[in-house]
Amino acid sequence: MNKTVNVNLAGQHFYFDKAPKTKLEIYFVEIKKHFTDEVLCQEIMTDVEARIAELLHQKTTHPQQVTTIKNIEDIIEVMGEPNAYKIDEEEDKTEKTKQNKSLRKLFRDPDDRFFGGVASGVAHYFGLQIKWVRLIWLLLALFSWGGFTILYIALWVFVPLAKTTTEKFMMKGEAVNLSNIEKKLKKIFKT
Amino acid sequence: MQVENTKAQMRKGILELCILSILADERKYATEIIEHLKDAKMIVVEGTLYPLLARLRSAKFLTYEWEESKVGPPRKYYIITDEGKAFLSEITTGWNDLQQAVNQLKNTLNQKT
Repeated sequence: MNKTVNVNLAGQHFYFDKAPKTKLEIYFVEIKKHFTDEVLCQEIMTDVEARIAELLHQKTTHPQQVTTIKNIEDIIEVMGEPNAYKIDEEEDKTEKTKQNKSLRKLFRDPDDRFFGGVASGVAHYFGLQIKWVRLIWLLLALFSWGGFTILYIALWVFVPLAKTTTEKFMMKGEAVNLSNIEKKLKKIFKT
Repeated sequence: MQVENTKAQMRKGILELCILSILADERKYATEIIEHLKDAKMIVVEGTLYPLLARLRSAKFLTYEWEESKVGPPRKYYIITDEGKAFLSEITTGWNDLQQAVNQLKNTLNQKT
């Protein structure tokens, strides 16, 4: 059984399976990468969302219908791969590496944790092996007279948990793109 | 160099001219503009259009207005501005000159061989 989620596209409601929702989210992230100007980007995304809503609307025969991964694939075929949105060729490579780097964010890892997943999050963020971070934690906990415990709790409270697939990619600093997400989705469905 | 890539680059360069021409006589919403461009084989995928619309809008060549639609959500109609019209007439001249120049060049080359 699949969990269905509510998605709002350009002010319209749609029911999505989880996988197509993730796929569409990644698609939007990939498109946004091509635009540095915030206002322009916002404007483009509003238009794109409206068009996708329109296309989805044509595919739904009754309001309760659930959007599938096939629907999203069809839409991406019509709209084009994220590359199609690129206007200028020059801002290509340098921009991309820059943005991939800045995409790495500190999250707590829900899949690998003793308490709050802080250690695994920090390990992902700095590209360290988790056992070393845990060892440092242990040493700090022993020698900081409770100071570390407070810090840990603060981190637990303030660092968000990586909930969506997009966030998990960002946590690991992996590029949030369609091919990565596809790999991940395939893994989920195999298990 | 791949032919398709070169063709795509050429098309992208004159897309702005086409978009402004489509809007020259009456306002249209994105889907209508897309249909025109697809019919003329100027674009293959729709995504290409949106960044260009936004860029023309921020250059003040286009503006837009929202209007309720009977069949769906409100539509965003794009309208050409006076600046846009002036720009269109200039690039149309530019395009004609260019076309003529290329043809002339090719003709003279053909005559020599």
